[in-house]
This record gives sequence, C-alpha cells and structure tokens, in this order.
Amino acid sequence: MTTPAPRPALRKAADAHVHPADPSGSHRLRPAGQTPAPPAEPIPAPAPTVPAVPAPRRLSGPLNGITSDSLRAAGRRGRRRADDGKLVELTVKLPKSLRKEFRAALKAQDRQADDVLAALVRAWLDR
Amino acid sequence: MGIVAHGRLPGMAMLAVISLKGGVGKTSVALGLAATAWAAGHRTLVVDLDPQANATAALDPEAYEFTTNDVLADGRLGIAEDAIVASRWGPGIDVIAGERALEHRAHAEGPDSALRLRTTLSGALDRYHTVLIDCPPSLGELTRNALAAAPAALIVTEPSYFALQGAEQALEAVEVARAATNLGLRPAGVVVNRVRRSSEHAYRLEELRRAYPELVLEPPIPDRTAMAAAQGAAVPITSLRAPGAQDLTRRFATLAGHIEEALS
Ligand SMILES: Nc1ncnc2c1ncn2[C@@H]1O[C@H](COP(=O)(O)OP(=O)(O)OP(=O)(O)O)[C@@H](O)[C@H]1O
Ligand SMILES: [Mg+2]
Repeated sequence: MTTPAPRPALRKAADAHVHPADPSGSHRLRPAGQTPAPPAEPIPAPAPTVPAVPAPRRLSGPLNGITSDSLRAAGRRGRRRADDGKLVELTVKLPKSLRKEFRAALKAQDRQADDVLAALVRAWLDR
Repeated sequence: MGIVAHGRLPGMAMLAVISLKGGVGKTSVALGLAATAWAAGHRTLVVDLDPQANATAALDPEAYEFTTNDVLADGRLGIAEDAIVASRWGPGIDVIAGERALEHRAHAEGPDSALRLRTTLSGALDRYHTVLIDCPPSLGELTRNALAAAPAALIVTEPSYFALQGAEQALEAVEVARAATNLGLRPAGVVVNRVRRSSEHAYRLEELRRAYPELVLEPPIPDRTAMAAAQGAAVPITSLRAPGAQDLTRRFATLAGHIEEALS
C-alpha cells in the first residue's frame, strides 16, 4: 500500500497583493458571468512590486519565508542567468503530485524549472 | 453557548454576525461573545470575513500568512484548516485572519461563489465549540458566504433609526439566504448595542422590542469605554477589571445564554 500524496497546501490568492483600489485588479470585481473583452494589445508584464500571479508558497516547511518576489526575480524563459558560472545537475526526489503541480505552474507562468529552483535555493541560503 | 449545528461537535455554536449598517458593533459583539465562550472553556474560532480585518487586529494572532481571502480564492474542501492561527489572547482561541484583499471576493465569481466558505470550512471545525464569523457591513458576496456556512445569523444594531432599517434588511437577507443556499439557517436574534441613557435610544429600543418581540435579545449592550479599551489593547473584555468591563462581561454571558436558548 502506498501512502497518499499530501494535499497541496493553501497558497496566497493570486490577487492578494493587488490593492482593492488599484484598477488593474478590478477585473476580479466584474459581475459573475460577464467575460472580459479580449485585450487589443499584449498586456505588459506586471510591475515587480505588484505581482499579478505570485509564485506558490507553502504554508510551512524548509522554504517558508521565501516571498514570491524572490521567484519573480528568477526571470522569464530564455533570459540569461545572473550567475554565469558553470551549471551543474542536482537530482531531487519530490512527491509525484507536487512535481505535477510544479510543472503545470511552470507552464502557466512560462518559467524554467532550473531558474525557479535556483532562485528558491538562493533565497533559502540567504535567509 | 451550546447549539447543536450541522452535526459537528455536540454543543457547538456557529454564528454569522451581520448587519447592513456599518459601525454598529458587529466586530465588538463577535469579540465579546468569543471572549465569553473562551472564558467558559469553549474552544473558539473567529473567522474574519471583513476586509477591514478589525477582528484580526483585536485577536492579534502572532504571525500568519494566510487569510480568508486565500481560503475563498482556493475553494477546496476543508482548506480553511491551513489558515487557522492562534490568537495571542491565549490557548484555546483561534482565528482565520481577514485582510484588505478580501475586497476582491466581495462580488460573485461563478455559480458556487456563495458556497465557498462552507466548502472550505467543512471538516475544519471539528475541534471548536464556538465559531463566530465577523462580516463586513454589506450584504454582498462575503456576507452571503457567511450565511451559507453558518446555521444561524446574529444581527447587530444600534438603537437608532438608520441602524434599525439596516437590521430589518439584514433579517430579510437571512430569509433570502435560507431559500437560496442554506435551508437550515435561522436568525439567532437581534443584539442592540451601544445603548446610551437617552430618550431617543429608549424609544428606539422599545420600538424594536415591539416590532420583533421574539428576536430582540436581552440584555442590550451599553456604550462603555471599556469596549474600545479592550480592543485597543488586543485583550478579551473578560480580562479587564474596570467596572464597565465587568458589566459588559456579565451582559455578554447572559446574552450568550439567551442565544443558546433561542436556537435550542
Ligand atoms: N458597546 C460599545 N461601547 C463602546 N464602544 C463600542 C461599543 N460597541 C462598539 N464600539 C465601538 O464602536 C466602533 C465600531 O464598532 P465595531 O467595529 O465593532 O462595529 P462594526 O459593526 O464591526 O463596524 P464595521 O461595520 O465597520 O465592521 C469601534 O470603535 C468600537 O470600539
Ligand atoms: Mg466590523
């Protein structure tokens, strides 16, 4: 018998850092059932201080205290890594469900696992 | 308090504290009843559904990351458990904090939006005898969530003309919520708060008792500086020695007994 994978912990809501008075957050205040008009132009990337989709944080555990800002700093796909040193491999074992969720989030937010994990490890070391 | 509700812990009470009018004392009454239940040895939880987060400030939890906004945005069965934190009042009283961003949840978001609190609290309340949900001063989606989650609603009013109008609208809202989302919901009664010795207050109090003889809960809660003092110091009213605080403590204890009777 295998132990069931732990339920993913609660995360900060995507709009937790959007001030209610900020019109950029007002899409959430649309009456139910009304769909937004498609944007005429690509939406510019949000300012780093007001992340529209904060990266996931766990309720507790060794990475607790790492803010979504540290993940933001990980940069977008293809951007040059800040550290130009040689890249090496690190093998880790995760619950399958966590890996699945991680992959889905990477895809949704257009991020590379290497970048996010490097930022997490850096932030953890710098605590 | 001790009301059997939704098959949870025997003797458990769960109340949504509501009013349409702002500043009438929803948070103060919720905190007063929470202090009374806690002082009586009941494990107590306050759920702060108000973006102003006044109940959270008064209960002063040490460090917390998650709030009712995160819980409602997540929506998973029982996930509210992850957001429960201890109040600094002492062991046995907990809180799910509110925050400004809760304003984002104040409007309907999809068909199940009013049922999110109920879903997320499911199974998370087993260890509590008393659960108080402090609502914002509106009948929007946050209050609808509270009315869908709790078996009873406590309406708070002041003895003023406008506040009484707000109380009537809150009673109507309870009826609407019962039909729409929560067939078991009932009004626990109307608490009259901030009563002063004035002929206007005496008149309004009598008016209210005549209009809702079965619903007005006794005793009324007087206007006492100890209430604000307790909140400012983030301590339960039951812990203060001042005569005003002791009077409020006695009144909240009697009120809790009458709420229990009203719902039994
Ligand atoms: N019985 C009382 N005696 C003295 N002051 C009181 C009493 N009840 C409430 N207050 C004070 O009145 C103010 C409003 O009370 P409270 O915040 O509890 O109202 P509320 O209905 O929760 O407000 P809101 O609608 O903004 O959530 C607070 O400063 C509080 O300390
Ligand atoms: Mg309040």
